[in-house]
Amino acid sequence: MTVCVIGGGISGIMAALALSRRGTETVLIESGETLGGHMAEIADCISGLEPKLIEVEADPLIEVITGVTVEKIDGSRGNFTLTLSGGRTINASSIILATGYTPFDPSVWSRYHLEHPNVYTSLEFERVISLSSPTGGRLPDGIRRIGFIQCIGSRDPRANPLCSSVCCMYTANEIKTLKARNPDVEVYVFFMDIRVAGRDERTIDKLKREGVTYIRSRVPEVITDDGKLTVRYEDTGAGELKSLDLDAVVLAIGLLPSGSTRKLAELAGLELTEEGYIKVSDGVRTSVDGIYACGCVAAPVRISDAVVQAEAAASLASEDGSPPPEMPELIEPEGEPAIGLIIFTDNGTLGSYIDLEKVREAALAIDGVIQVKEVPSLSGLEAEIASLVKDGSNRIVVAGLSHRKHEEMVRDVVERAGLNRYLVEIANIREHAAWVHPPDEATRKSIDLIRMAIAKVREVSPLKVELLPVTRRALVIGGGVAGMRASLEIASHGIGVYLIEREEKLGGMLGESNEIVADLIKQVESNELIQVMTGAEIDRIEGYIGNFSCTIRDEKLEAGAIVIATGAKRFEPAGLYSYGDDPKVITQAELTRRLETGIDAGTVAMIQCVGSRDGERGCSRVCCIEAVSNALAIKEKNPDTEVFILHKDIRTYGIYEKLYRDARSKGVIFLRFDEDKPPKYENGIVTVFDTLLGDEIQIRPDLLVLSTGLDVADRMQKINELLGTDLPTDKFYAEVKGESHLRLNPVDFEIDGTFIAGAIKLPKMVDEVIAEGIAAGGRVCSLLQQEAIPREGAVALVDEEICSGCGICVQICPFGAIELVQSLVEERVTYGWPITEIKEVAHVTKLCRGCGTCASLCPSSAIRHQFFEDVGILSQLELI
Amino acid sequence: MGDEFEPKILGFTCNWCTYAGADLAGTSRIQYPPNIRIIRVMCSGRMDPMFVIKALTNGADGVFLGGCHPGDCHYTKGNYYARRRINALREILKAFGLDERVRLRWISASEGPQFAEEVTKMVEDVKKLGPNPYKEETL
Ligand SMILES: Cc1cc2nc3c(=O)[nH]c(=O)nc-3n(C[C@H](O)[C@H](O)[C@H](O)COP(=O)(O)OP(=O)(O)OC[C@H]3O[C@@H](n4cnc5c(N)ncnc54)[C@H](O)[C@@H]3O)c2cc1C
Ligand code: SF4
Ligand code: SF4
Ligand code: SF4
Ligand code: FES
Ligand code: FES
Repeated sequence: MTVCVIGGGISGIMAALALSRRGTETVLIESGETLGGHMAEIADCISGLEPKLIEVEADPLIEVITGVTVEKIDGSRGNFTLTLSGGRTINASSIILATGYTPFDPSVWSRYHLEHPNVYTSLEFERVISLSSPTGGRLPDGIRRIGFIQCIGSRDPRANPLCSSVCCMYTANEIKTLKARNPDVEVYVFFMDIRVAGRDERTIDKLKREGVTYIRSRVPEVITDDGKLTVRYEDTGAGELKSLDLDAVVLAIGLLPSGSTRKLAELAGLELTEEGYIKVSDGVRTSVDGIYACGCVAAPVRISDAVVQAEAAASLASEDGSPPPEMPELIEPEGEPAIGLIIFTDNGTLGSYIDLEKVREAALAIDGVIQVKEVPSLSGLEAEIASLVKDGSNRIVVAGLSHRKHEEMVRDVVERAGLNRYLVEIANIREHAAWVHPPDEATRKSIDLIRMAIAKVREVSPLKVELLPVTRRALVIGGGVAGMRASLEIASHGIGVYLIEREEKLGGMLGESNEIVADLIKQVESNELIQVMTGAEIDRIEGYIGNFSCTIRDEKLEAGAIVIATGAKRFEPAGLYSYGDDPKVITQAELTRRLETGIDAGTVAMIQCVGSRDGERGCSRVCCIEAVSNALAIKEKNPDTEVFILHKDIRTYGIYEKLYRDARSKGVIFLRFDEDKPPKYENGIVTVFDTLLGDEIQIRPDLLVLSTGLDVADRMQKINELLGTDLPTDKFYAEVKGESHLRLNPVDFEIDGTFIAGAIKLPKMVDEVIAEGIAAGGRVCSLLQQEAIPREGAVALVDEEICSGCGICVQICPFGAIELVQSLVEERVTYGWPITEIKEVAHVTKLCRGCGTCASLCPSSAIRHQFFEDVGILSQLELI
Repeated sequence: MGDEFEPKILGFTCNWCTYAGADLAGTSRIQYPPNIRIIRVMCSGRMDPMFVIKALTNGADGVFLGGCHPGDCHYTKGNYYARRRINALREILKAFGLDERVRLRWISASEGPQFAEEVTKMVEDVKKLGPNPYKEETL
């Protein structure tokens, strides 16, 4: 049955797409006029969002309803009825809430003078620096000095006590974009703590090196004096009040629960948190069975985390899907190429940029073109291409779309029309001509681009899309929270799992004494579909998507997909702060364990970031939260115990800010030290230079607790060995890949059919790890539920007769997709019968991803990159 | 325009970065000279030096090659191979005085303005160089 997704921001869009991938029909309801939510407002995010919008639009399983709200929700899991504002009702088996956030509105506080033309909220500022702004992202004249004020409407009991998690990161991104388009502008940032991890940390380091000034101070107001802007702030280091004149101010506003979340919660009877977010367990389950939440409705999160939750919610909400629709019998193209040309007019707007009549005439005059049709919208493409094919076109060119954004969609349409999916080529006359040149020149260039597309499409031949059989079983590596949760998710869809753990016991870093872990272990061990192997070290993994084979102690396990959840190791502080010599010095993990029975100490000091943020390793993200919650636990048991936390920043993200506030009110003392002046521990005394006091402080603790970070090196190295990847071992996966790769594919690993979740990706709190485990498990299910996996058809092919067996291609292929094999080759000779001989030749395996590098590097020109063959490319460039 | 020399530039871009950068220039309506015609390949690793030579002998006044920044190639390493091959090719082209007509640039999907800027620069520079002396018809 149908699943209903409410809210058409990135979370709702990705949930709908994940559902449709599983064959589940989806209704996507958006109260606004268009899809996209806040992501559409973020500068240049549109390039990532647009392809998803197109996918939704072209997806036959997704129905989008905009401009309506939900007025009533009845029923229960398996049978909900939603009544919309227009009166229409929808039956749904499950509901996914993705109504996002409302940005904090600083105009409620007159002291920030939002009415001043040069005071922007961060969202307004996204538009100012966006390429699609009237100036292409250049600032208005006269703005040379610009100040960003962080935590506006966050971490403030009067507005919103929580930390909004994303504004430190997005401020840095905004500055990066700003500087790229306005190199000379002077930038100041006022912050309380910097709460970023992974690549964002390096972004900020780089900004600082490039001259952006970060000032630790909360700015209470913006002063306007005959139009001039000034901020006053306390220089905490020097302990003096300073002021700074600015030409513009950007307020980094927080993310609040969206207004309609409360109403929907009431309609459906959902529990809310104190702050008005939807209360969730497992990262995405609401208090009502069958209703899930993803994205910013449950807590402020960044896009990649919202997508993880969308994937997880979709997996929990989907029922096992119906098989994909039958494909029509494909037509064999016979005889001369007969080309049907479609001009996509973008709802008629293309005609205002180029002379469509001229283009049409010129196209009709090209040899081989039999029909030219105009299509105004993407949804009209299907019918028009089908009619071209029916009327005898055996090759199609679509002008007005982009290869990058539309090619797969167009190929699907062509295939549904009965033509091989590789008999179509695109001419990008919109982005690459109409929109960027004056009309006459754009028209001329458009005609050239269409000529080139036609020249190419004449040369292409139908390519076979091989269907790879699928082993309906998954391999999960690592038996911590992420791995166990992923296994359970996969098993809940009826798919078997091998869960491999290197240690003797399941539980991973948190260990079985943790309640959540204990519960997961129980569920995993009693699940018949999950075969747990502990004390097991994997020796080898071979194969490819759908068909991996994994060797453990001479046993071979076959699996169609792999989840990597091997976590990270606690950094060993051996030798630091006398750890190992002085029994008073313990790690935070040891403290957690000791707190179960209670500790006996009058004074406890904690030092943060031991082995993290040391220039080599990044922030481990969990240690601040761990320290603060342990400090609270100590205070709860014994309010008289003095607890000191020595830190660089306190990074209690999002909802964990509450812990920080509680800890301070219970008397935990926070002392901040500078990067270059770390605390010392000698003769039982900790000495630290506190930046707030500007003085040295000495503490004699009964326990010195080191908040050690996480170390991923040995885990990463093992993955490199097993999967043949080449990843740096000193960084978490998310630090290596960065947002542009992860944003919309947050649990995909390097190799098709492999996924990654948990601490090896980036250290995370348990709730987030659970959502990631479900998401990775969900991705595995939607892959393995297919009968067969269609493979890329435009792959490399070796002409064995020409191949000299030199093996160069074997060396260069980034995916190890070429091997040398013995083959019986027929060699033509000038006179007489062909000779057959056995020789060593290159052979392209199913691992090929179709990059084409081998084709241009083979010294004998023995490799063809299908669809991108030399003849096709040469015929295009001959037209120059 | 009149009789001013309008160079013909052939572009090769990889699908994932530079092509997408050109798309972004389009979506952002950034204007640049219309002299370039782009052939899309999946990865800069597919850019065979033979294509460059053919383009130059076929009448192109310049060849613009674009790929992902080092470390960002969709296929991990294709751009490194491209760089090595094009550098090697450049040595050969020097002998014919053609090396300045071939340019390899890393432009990511979010660098629409950089794409427009690089094309603009290339067109200006090739204008200064004048027509390609090795065009087949002039040989
Ligand atoms: C200035 C700024 C910059 C940012 N930059 C970044 C960045 O660089 N990277 C990053 O990862 N994150 C960034 N973020 C965070 C990012 O915006 C969010 O992570 C993301 O947009 C969340 O998506 P969502 O779908 O959960 O919510 P939203 O984008 O808020 O979407 C919710 C959708 O639901 C609709 N809706 C609401 N109520 C109803 C209802 N009752 N019925 C139907 N529909 C409804 C809304 O109209 C909206 O379309 C930034 C945030 C801000 C404020
Ligand atoms: S500390 Fe939290 S609320 Fe303040 S700017 Fe950073 S992420 Fe936003
Ligand atoms: S295909 Fe080319 S590179 Fe590969 S072994 Fe044969 S001749 Fe060598
Ligand atoms: S096309 Fe790319 S992935 Fe395929 S075999 Fe050649 S180098 Fe490897
Ligand atoms: S500051 Fe918390 S992880 Fe280092
Ligand atoms: S995909 Fe862009 S260079 Fe390889």
